[in-house]
Amino acid sequence: MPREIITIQAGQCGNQIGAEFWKQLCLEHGISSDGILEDFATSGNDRKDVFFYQADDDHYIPRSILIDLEPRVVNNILESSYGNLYNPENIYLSKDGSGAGNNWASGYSQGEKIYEDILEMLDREADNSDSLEGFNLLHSIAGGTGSGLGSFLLERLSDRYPKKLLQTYSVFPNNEDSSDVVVQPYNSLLALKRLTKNADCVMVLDNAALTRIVADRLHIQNPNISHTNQLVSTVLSASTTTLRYPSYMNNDLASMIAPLIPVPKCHFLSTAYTPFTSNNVETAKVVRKTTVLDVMRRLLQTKNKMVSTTPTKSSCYISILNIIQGDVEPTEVHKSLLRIRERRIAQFIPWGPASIQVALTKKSPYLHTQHRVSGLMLANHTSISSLFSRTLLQYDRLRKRNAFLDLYRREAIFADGLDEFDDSRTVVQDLISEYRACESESYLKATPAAATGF
Amino acid sequence: MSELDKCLYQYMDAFLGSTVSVEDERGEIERRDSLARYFCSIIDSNIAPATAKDEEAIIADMQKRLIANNGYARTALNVSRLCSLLKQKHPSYNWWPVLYFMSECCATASTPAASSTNSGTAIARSSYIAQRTGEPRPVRAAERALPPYYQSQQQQKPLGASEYQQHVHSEPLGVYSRESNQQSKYSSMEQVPEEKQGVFIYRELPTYDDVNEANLLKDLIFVMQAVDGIYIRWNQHSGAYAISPEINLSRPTRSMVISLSELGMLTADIQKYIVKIEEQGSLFEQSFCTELKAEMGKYYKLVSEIEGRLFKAPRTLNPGESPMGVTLRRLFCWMVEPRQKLRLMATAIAKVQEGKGGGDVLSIISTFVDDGDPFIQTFAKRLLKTASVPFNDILVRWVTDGELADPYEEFFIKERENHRDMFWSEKYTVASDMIPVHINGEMTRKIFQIGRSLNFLRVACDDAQWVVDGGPRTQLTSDLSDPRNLESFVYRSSSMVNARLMSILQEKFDLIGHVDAMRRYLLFEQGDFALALMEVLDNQMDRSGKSIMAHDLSAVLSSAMRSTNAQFENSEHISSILLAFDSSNSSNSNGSEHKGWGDVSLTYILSPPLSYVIPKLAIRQYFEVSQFLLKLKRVEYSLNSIWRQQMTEARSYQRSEELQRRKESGNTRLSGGDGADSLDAAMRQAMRECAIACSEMIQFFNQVQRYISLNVIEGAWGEFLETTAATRKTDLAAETIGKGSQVAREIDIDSWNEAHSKYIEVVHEVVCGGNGLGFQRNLSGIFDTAFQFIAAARELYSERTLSVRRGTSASSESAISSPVMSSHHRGSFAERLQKLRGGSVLEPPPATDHAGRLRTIISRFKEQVRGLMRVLSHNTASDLQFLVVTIDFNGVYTGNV
Repeated sequence: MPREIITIQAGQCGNQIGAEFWKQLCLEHGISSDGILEDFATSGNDRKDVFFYQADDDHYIPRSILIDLEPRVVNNILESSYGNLYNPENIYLSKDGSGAGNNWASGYSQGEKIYEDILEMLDREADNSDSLEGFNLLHSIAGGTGSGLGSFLLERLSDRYPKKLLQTYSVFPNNEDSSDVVVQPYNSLLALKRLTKNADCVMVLDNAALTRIVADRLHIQNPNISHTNQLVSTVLSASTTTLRYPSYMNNDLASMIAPLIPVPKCHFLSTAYTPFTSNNVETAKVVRKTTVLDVMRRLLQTKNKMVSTTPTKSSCYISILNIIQGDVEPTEVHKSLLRIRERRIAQFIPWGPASIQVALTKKSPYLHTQHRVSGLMLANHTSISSLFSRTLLQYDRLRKRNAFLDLYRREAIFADGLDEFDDSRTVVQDLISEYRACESESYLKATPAAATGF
Repeated sequence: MSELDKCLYQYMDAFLGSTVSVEDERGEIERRDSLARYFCSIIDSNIAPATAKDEEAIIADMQKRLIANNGYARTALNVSRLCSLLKQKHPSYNWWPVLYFMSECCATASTPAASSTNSGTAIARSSYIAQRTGEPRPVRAAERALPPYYQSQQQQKPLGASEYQQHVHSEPLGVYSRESNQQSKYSSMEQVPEEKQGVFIYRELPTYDDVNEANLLKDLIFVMQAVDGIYIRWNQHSGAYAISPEINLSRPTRSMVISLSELGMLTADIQKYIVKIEEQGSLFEQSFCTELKAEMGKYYKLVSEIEGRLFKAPRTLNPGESPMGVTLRRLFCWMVEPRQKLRLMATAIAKVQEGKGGGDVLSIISTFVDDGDPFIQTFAKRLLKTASVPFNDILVRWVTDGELADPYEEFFIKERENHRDMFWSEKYTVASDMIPVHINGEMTRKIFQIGRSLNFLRVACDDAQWVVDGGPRTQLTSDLSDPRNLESFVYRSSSMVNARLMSILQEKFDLIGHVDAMRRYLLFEQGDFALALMEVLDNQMDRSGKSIMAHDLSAVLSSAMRSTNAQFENSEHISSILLAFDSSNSSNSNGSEHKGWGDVSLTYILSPPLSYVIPKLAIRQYFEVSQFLLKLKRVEYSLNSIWRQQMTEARSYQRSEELQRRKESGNTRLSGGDGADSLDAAMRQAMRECAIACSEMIQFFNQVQRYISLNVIEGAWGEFLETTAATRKTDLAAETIGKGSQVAREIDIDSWNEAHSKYIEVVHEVVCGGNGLGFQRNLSGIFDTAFQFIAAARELYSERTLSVRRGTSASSESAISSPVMSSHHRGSFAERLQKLRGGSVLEPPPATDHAGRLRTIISRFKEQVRGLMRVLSHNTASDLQFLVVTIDFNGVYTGNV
């Protein structure tokens, strides 16, 4: 029962981070770019079958489905050295190859058309696994394909696999300058509704924060998309280490995120990672002394978070899971936790038990990092709502001007009107108020704020 | 008999030993009678001293004398203080005689030995002297009246070889005296009055011999071979040879004869022992005897040689004349050395007979080796060498083959009778009182270890070939009877055997692999296996009511194995793991009456060589820990499944709501979200509370599990690895430093086992330990609550699923048929349910009931957690405090951060 996870990469961003993710997994498990196990990869304590399966000739194939409405990115992947890794049957490229034109509605409607083909892939992959744990959707919510098609897929997956977990790694747009995609607030809002309603767990990554980290941590002046994707793949692989290297705890997705999400609705998790190094970048090779306390402290710092949120006085952590990797003594963990508690570095919800949970994981024996300890934090923090508020704000601004709405009206979902926008706004607003409510002590006593949740 | 006589006889008894028994010789009684008469004459002649009976004067006199003697004013003052104390105690008593008596004692006993002796005998003795010396009138007449045989008695006294001293031979040796303390004191006190006494007695001594020297020598030849002579015979009463009282001998002759006659006594003793051992003796005693016999042979040869010379000599010899060279004096000189040897042998025999036999024999002889006298030392060494031959044979056999060839159970390692299967821990024991002194504690341990290891290698590990070809036998070069050789051999081969045994256990039998497998499967480090096991067990639980057969258990286990990384595991490890019921309770539930799946646990079956190494107790502890962890895992698994259900429920609810909304907006556009509200508020509230409670429990159990697995198990495991590995590492490092340190640090099975036992003990203590520590007990209430919660939550969700299905189907139906009626669907959940069930007798519990029940459960849970935290925080010994902190990280339970 490997508790398989099927990864769905949708759109340009999704496929790019997906490609990096698989590259990283291959390195960690000692799988060559052709999917063949390297000679040195003999220690059998890792679980490759969570993310891979073996073909008849024993080479490893990722449980991955690549979907894009335009061929450029996927073709790049296929032409790269890892091109042979993927199952060609699992790649869906739109026939016309025109893309979704950064239009959520376009992506969503095209989803309806290609649904049969994609469903066939999904079902095949699902039947291929003994005990499917869930799906992992990699996408961005700003554009057309990842956002629109991704939303559509979430809805359908939720119908078709009601008992499976739906986890997404969603890249939020860079809110500060919305120049690249003008309709990005529309797309984000519409996708956010699906993430709220149809996903079980959303790992929020945002481009603004990623760019900032690349600039600050990796010391790259003009960060490009490949740098940020590297960060995302690091987070992706780190957040799945407990699934891939079994140990005492957190060996399946449910047991990992269950303690993080006490209220089904509040399932937006932010991440932080430290220390970042990149072998490709000369200036990022600085090795610092890493202790558990250092790592846990840095993880709580805003500058290491991969989401740019603006916490208020009352914002607090609902839960934290630190995945610490490396050579760690349990007593070190104690001391660090006690210190953090003493110093009150982290503020927690006042209405229920919450703490920094720590998972110690094994390191891949095939990858050698200079750092003794590295850590990933998965946190459920109420300040995430500030991200949504910002999206709402930008949406309101755009909507007030009725800008670019024609693009959306063309598609079927908006054929009867713009109700979908209003509904999405309500859903996101509800979500924001739910998070706000979480900050208050009377959260338990309060009746559910909105009709749309429990 | 007058009162005085009685006193005198008692007095004599005190000096000369207990009163003679009826059967005793007449001579002795006569002798005592004459002594009594002699004392009477002394007492009769006594005249009281012409001193004023003034206590004060005597005290002053005593003080003066004290100051004069040792110059300490304090001692002098002490006398008067003591006297005043005495008088206070009994004011009416007349103290003068006592004081006078004591003062006189002091005055006469000029030697410090006498004055310091405080015992009653000493005082009595000195009073006897005091009376005689303080006597103004000489008592020569009385002395002359002494019968001659008494004089001979007196004469012997200065030699310290009175007939009343039973074993003269042992005293001069100074090594060991069989005499009681009392007797030796007696003999030492004998020296004290010597000079004073001598004044009177010496004059009475005969200065001529009644018997000529040749006859005496002839007699002595017999006596030296323990045969009675004419003049010198065995005196049963005194237990020594005595000169016949009928003859007079001069003092020097007498003393020489007496000391030579000691040889006879010693010979008799030794011969007796030899005969006894020849009849029935153990190996050690026999070999000891061999040396004795050889020595005795030499002695007899010497005696016969002397005898030969003696008979060649002229019949008559004047004192001092000896053409052939045998005179009493020469004989005396020649016999000094043999006498010492015989004494040593006799002493050794005496001690050996007292001792426990076996290794004790060697220990006793070893004590002589340490003697300061080089003569005794060399002799004892020889004795030891011969005596330790069988010991060394056994030892060599033991350290080279691991076999115990010890027919008389004399070796210090014993095989236990009923423990033939317990090759390691139980089979052999060390009898500490059998260890020869020249083998110290560390050596003993190593010797024990070598033989034990060899035996283990041969019998259990099937490695006899190595024992024969490559074992310590190859190191056996020098003679092991030399302690130094033995030591270096033992140290060399102990590290060699140890290394071999450890490597055999590690490589051939994969010791650490098995221990690691136990950690991974029994303590659930192998998380995917644990998860799969949970899943299979969970499926099985649903089919309760059926009795569980052995094949069910193995099927469950193997299906869990197959689906996880356990399938890549060494098959030997896999086959060792068993799913089983608690065997300790099997008595009350034998046969098919087994309990449910909830009572199974994992155990590990070790195959022979390892099962002898790792004690059963440790396996039992593993089992118990595993049982608890399994329960913990089960709670975690169930809670996670509740959580998952709640997530998917929430999602499906959202989804149906969305569909509803679209349908409505698409079809009628009547209202947004009205129909979606298909659940009443109470139900929603209940589910929300359930979700939050579920999360609280998940967090709690996660913390507990994290604590046990990371802090306890991994902590102890790390320590275990460190102890076992570090020793190996330092071992390598030590090789460069020197051999000594290497030996000190190497790890053997015992220390390995100790480390391992400690590891599992620590884990077991935390999990099942006593004194308020064990989680097993502390958590049992919380477990029950959690299981209740799980049951209640499941019920709630099944109710909800039912209602949603009905609700959506009903509302979708109504949406199609009569959308206007939608408000109707908002009727209470219970109402609808009742309607759907067509008024059946079964009243379904309304959502509020569920909520209430859940609320009670969760508040009980909170209370129990608080209780647990109270218990835990009282325990300051371990790092349980840490668990308290993590459970209450944000101060929800205790209310403070």
